[in-house]
Amino acid sequence: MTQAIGSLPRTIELRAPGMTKMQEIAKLMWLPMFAMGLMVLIASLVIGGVESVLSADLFDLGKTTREGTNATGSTLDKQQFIESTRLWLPRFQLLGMGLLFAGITFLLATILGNLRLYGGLVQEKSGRKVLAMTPPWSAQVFPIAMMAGLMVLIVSLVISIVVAFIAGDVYGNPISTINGAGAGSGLLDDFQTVKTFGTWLQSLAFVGLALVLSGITLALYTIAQVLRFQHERIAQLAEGAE
Amino acid sequence: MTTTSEMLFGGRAVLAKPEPTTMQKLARFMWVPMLLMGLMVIAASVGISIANAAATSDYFGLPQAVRGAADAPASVIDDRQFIESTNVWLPGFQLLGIGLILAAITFSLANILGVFRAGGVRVQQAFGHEAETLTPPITARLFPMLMMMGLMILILNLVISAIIGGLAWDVYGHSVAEINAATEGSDLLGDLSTVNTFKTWLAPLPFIGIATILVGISFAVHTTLQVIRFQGQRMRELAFAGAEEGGAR
Repeated sequence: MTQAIGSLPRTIELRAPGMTKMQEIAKLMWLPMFAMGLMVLIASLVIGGVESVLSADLFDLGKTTREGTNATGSTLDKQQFIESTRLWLPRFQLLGMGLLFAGITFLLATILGNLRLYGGLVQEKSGRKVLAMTPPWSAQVFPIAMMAGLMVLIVSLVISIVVAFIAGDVYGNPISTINGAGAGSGLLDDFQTVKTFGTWLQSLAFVGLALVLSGITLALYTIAQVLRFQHERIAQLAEGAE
Repeated sequence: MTTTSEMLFGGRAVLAKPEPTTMQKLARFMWVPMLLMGLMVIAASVGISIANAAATSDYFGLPQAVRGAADAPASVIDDRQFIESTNVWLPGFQLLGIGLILAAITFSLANILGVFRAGGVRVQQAFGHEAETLTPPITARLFPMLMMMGLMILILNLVISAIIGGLAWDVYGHSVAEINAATEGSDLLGDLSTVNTFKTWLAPLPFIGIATILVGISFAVHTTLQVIRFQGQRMRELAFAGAEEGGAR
């Protein structure tokens, strides 16, 4: 049943106080999201450390040794690892941040669930109708924004990994060979692909992060709306409303 | 009336009307433009990245011998100019977008504080009691300033990046061979040095802006916690006063 009461926004009468299904899920999901986000960030710190050790080894060598056509296998391996990691690691880090922000979104949804549950219990204990606010538009949109943001971050990471494999192939060749690649050669095409994708993938990941953060903003707006409703409802109960 | 409470950092004040402060009223409307501006900046940066990717594709589609030649075609130099200057200012622009969205979160939290203030007064008046509110703790005064300071740092960073981007445009208007052959003391080498020097410290500067806004958000959350604690305490006082009145009758 939906109705507008006094200065309250549109409300629904609940049979019993309780959280919605989405809020029940959010109650369980915030912790794994935080844990996953932290694990991703710790993993990226370790990978960054390995990359730094390999960079130190590589740049210990003279330019002619590093970039010459007779560069050794281990030099090329280090170059491959460094160049391919540089392509996907920033996106992996942003996915970690995105997961932490998704954890915050789930936590905000849990707060909404608690407001709904305890708001209902107060009304039930006072022997009045158990009213809840009809979910505002922002309540429908914020979980979608959060999920869309995570999807964008995952897509950008997957594309980065694919391009990192191409980078692995390209940088398996000495720099002098890459620089000498002729027009229309497979090596130059792959080099072009690596450089081009590297340019726009970070912007794509920022879109994902922006969507997750927008979800948090909308969740906070929803909390403000619910709190406004609950204060008004308690005041009405004090004034003797049904 | 202002009395102190051992549980809370702020004192108490009596309010006559259930309404938020001017800043909180402003916050109720300001989160929307901030969020929209942030999303627009991020969308614009995607568009610019795609243009940059097209220039990058054209540039790196050519062999190194053509790209690095002293007589490189004008279109190759144009591509390099665009790529190098955009790479200087685009990261700062993207982080400004994220900063604006974080500012929207700060305004949303200020809006919640306004709801607590107005709603708390409304409930106390409905119970027929004097409406008390928490005098703003220090964190409530600091968080809007931190948010504004963070945005100022991000804007300043973008302005400096745009100037250095212009300088990079001049430098990379020369062929790679010319840049590599620039002699000590020449303007070209001086400009190249300026571009590379500024790029080094312009990378961490916007993160200071983002960190400042995030500190502001944590202060706003702390203020909310103080207000919730105060309201819980006030509800217990009202319930106790109600029970005493009932007992006296």
